[in-house]
Amino acid sequence: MPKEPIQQRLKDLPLTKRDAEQLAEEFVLEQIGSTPAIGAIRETDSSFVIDIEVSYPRVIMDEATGEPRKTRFIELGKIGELVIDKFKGQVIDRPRYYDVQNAIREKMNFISESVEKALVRVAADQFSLLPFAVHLHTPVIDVLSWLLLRGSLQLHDLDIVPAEPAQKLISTLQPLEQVRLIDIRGETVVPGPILIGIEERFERTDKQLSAALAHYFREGYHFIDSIRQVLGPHLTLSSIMYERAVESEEPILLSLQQIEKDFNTFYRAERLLKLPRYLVQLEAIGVAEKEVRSGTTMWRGLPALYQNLRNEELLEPVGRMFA
Amino acid sequence: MAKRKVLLIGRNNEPAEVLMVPWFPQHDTDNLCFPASLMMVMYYYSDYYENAEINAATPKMSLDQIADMCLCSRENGTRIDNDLAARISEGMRALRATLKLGYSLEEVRKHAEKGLPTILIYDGHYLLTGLRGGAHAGVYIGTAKNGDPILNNPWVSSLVPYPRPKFEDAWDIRRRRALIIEPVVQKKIDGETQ
Repeated sequence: MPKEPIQQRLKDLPLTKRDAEQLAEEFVLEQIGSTPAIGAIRETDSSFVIDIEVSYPRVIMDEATGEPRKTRFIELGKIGELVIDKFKGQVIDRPRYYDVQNAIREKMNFISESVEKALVRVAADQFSLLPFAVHLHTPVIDVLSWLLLRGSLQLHDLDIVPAEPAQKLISTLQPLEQVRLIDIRGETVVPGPILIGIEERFERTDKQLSAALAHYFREGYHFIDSIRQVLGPHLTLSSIMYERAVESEEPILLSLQQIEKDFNTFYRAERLLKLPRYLVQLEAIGVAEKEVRSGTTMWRGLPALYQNLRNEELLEPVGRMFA
Repeated sequence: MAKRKVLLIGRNNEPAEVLMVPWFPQHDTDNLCFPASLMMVMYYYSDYYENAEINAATPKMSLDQIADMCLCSRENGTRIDNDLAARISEGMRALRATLKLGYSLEEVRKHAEKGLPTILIYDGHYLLTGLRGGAHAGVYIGTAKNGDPILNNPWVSSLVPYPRPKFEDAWDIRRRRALIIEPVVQKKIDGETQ
């Protein structure tokens, strides 16, 4: 039997782990971007599976001087993986550019939302002191006030407001029921055990309402969307200040311009006129403080509140990312 | 030659001669190190480079405009490849960008001697922490007395000397990538190539 030519009997040598690592690094930098890096490598019979990880850089600015102070890295962990064929030396499976982008965005949002939830819990009493008139349009305060003054709320009472169909309104009240401030019985809303207790403890209705709101913020933090509707720009501004504090491991002073820039990503420009008022209100309730540096007024979170925030268990997963 | 004499703070005010590359910080919450580095080089050519035609022909873009030109994202950062160099050459009219791999600090230094700054791509996480991480960009502007490279680092500040062995390790991880940006005499300033 004729022998096979030697060229046909030659087999490609498989990639080494180092080759695969280098190939993956090239691929990530050229196809995905400069932020991700490669992590752990696992070898199978036919391939290398390589984690793609992100240490997200955060430059901590000294707002007083406008200069960067230090660079920290937020360990976002694994955001995808590459599979490299060991024999062909080719990437055979990979996340798309936008998959990585979304994964990073989601993890960054997780940090922001965790800070927001923790802040709502630790500053529940302070937030409940905001003047009611400044709260955004939300049925939460209206319904609590109604129950405190009138005892119960019939669905058909609400049908007189055509813009707010009763069922839709009821669904927005589910969070209040979850934290036992109200009971929804068929078509009737009545005070829940917590609201009844608050009524017994406080005589004045405004105090009752504040106490009910504080309870709602403290216990209903996981309904953060609903709480955002109540606290609106005040929560946004507080979160901007305390997220920076968490990143820097201390409350840092922010100029009005810096706050405006961040605030603008959440609210339309028309609201900028109100921003100083919101800050003054946050100062009045003990959530923010100001300091004048070289003639410029700067703002930051309160050190004591920041310490409580850092100790809040909701922030534990975020704390690990900053380790 | 567009150079200036400086004193290196933190090195007992050691004197050094560096290119007059202005320093711009990257946005404090984003991965815009590459566009910030490119902005430094762009403003060097438009404001300090000693050739009036190059000064006039070099556009002055904002950080956002540069980030758009380089197709950067605030999450992923910048894809560093030959397409990026081509986009920069197209957008910068009188300048041409070339991506080099396996470059040496000696070659970079020679460019600087001719008045040409170079953007170096290295592992910024490694340089700061000793742990490997994402890629980072900085602009080489000169060399300290002992041979340490001096960079304008958009994360930190201008005039940062890095210990050469550690910097070389951080640069090795990114296969010693360097983006050379130099004037192209063959290009007319209206953008057409002769």
